[in-house]
Amino acid sequence: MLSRIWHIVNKELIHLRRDILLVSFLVLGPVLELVFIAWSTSSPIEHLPTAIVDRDNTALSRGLVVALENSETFDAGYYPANEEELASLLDAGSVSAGVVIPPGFGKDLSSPASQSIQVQVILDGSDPTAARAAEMSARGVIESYAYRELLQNWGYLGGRLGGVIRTDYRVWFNEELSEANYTVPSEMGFMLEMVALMIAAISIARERELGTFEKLMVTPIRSWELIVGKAIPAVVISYFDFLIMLGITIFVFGVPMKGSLPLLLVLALFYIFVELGWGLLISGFSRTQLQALLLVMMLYMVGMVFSGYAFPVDTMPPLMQAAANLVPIKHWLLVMRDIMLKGAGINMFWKELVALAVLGIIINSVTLTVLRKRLD
Amino acid sequence: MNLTRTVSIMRKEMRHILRDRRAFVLVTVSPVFLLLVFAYSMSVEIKNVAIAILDYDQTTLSRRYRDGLASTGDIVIRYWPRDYAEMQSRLERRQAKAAVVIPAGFEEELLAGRETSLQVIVDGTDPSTANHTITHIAGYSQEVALEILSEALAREGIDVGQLSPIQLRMRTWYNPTLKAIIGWVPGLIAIVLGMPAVAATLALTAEKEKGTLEALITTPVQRSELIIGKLIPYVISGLFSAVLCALVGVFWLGTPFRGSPLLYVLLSADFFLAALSISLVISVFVPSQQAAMACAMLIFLFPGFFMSGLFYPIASMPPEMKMEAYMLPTTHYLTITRGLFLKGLDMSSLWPFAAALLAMGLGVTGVSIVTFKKRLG
Repeated sequence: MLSRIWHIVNKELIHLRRDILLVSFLVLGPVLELVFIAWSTSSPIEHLPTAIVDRDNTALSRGLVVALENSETFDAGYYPANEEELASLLDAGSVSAGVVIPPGFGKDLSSPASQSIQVQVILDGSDPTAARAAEMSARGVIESYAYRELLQNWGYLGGRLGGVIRTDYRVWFNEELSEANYTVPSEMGFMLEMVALMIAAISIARERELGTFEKLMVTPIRSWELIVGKAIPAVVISYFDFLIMLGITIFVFGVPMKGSLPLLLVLALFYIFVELGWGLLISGFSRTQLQALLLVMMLYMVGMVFSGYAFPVDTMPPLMQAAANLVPIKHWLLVMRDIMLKGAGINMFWKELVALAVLGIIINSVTLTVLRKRLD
Repeated sequence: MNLTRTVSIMRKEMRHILRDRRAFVLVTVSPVFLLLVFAYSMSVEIKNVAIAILDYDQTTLSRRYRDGLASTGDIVIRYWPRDYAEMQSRLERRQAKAAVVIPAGFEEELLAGRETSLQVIVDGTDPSTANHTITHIAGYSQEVALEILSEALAREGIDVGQLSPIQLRMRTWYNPTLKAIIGWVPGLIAIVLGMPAVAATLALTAEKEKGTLEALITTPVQRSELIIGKLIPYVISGLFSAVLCALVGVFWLGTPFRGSPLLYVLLSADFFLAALSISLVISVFVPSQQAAMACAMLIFLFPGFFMSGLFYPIASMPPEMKMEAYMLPTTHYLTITRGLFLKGLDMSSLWPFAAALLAMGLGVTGVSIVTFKKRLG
């Protein structure tokens, strides 16, 4: 039995050795890609090109312009004279946001009896992420500027300073609120998922497409031996990729490793097995490599949506939230973040582990039954 | 170049596409399926952030502060821990994303016109939610301070009018409600249409792996005829998906389409020309479908997702990566789809992106015609 499994492993290794290009894509590709992607997305959303129309032009309005310019989010490179010019800048995509300070802003801000002080912020809604970031930041900058001025003026009027609520922030688990600490481990998770899925999915589909599958069927190899034999090289390559990417994540991108490294290493192996199950299942259903590839891509993109990487799962419709629990990577990203950023132990994320285990058992047993039916 | 020979290669390739019916359905329908899954599950809105409040003050004012905090729906107060340790465990277990500690003497200090400090503890593992929560709590606290001040002034006989004096008029153009589906669909279309390109890479390599390329080499077909004949059917099948996606986006998901439909088809063809020419080059250099798949994923899928400007604005990338992003066909196509669907732009503003795609398409096809030798190995 063991020797039969070993023969399959050996056969797979010979295939890989022949296709050196494939091996280098599989091993180096995800690593390079991680570096590129992590490098591009690891800073917060900043430097959005912004146009400011200051129709007030008083000391106070100029103060606001300076406050906006000093914020990291906005790069105020444009000062159009009126709203029409601003509109054409937005149309052309030259700016993602515009701030219009109406005439009378300074007067309103300095006279305490005025009812409304208006500032207009125009956002380019065709890029929702940028729009959202700009909205949040504009709110923060403009409100805190105006409130500061108002508190001063009004407090002075009452002959004393107003009571100030100072908010002391403490950020836990990711103290400097580094974007990289969030994005890089997630992106590493995606790369790992991809490698595991891809190798597993294509392994059996390839035999079937090239007609070598029949030859395997006439040998005394049993279906589960074939599956294990095919899974081993996939696990080895995926795990090797994981180790390199983990090194890059920690040493190049400076993501902290607060928890137990051995725990993470063991759980990564566990996660790879769950994903392999998906890959082999796809492999069992596909007659050609093209079909396998298309199914992998669909599964992968669906996983990306539900992973919580770009969109918080908490705000999805209930049905989608339930569906998200079926996606292994969602649980894996939480586990990885808990270990790396929080230094948490199993008691903090046992729910995710149970979910992964249940998924793994279901997926892998379905895979075994499906493949056995096809093979025997 | 001979037209008849090109057409026969085209017909042969068409037959390949149509014969593997399952793959054909997957290629044309999967972009639509993905579009629907994405559209229904994504939102950038950060709402209902669960927080915990630890109120050491327990006064009228601290209760007022608490009640108002959750009034906008951005924040939900889900836990009322009794002590610091319980609050800590809520945060550690991810049950609460942030905690607010109201100190004893909160009311007293504020009414006396002194400074009081609230402690806000946020879970930083997700920085954008953390930042959002911080901004929200800070803004709200300032508002409360102003309210109390104006009330104090009113008691002293100085009427300063009503509260919340700042009116920030936020207007979002092109997608006024920042409704998730409308904002995302055009960008998503650009991404999911990368799938036909990846599929083409594989299909083009299959010939090599199965050994039928040898048969082709013995025919009088020239390499330019072979390459152009192979490209066109995939451009057509891609356009079919593009139109399908647009129809679903507009009629099912309710995205506006403000530009010219004809321009959409033309520029989509432009995009497929650029993307597929890259597929073709990969298939020339790569020996097996497995390797082609790995390569196509690394070129189309990941960068398309992460670096094209869909999730992450290109303006915020480091300069080296901006260049990289502009080398991807998807980046330009994304600008085009957003411009056509939401902004109603025409060629006068879209030409730079269209030109970039055309240059890529022609340049890379040229390279593959020159480098493709009609021989094995």
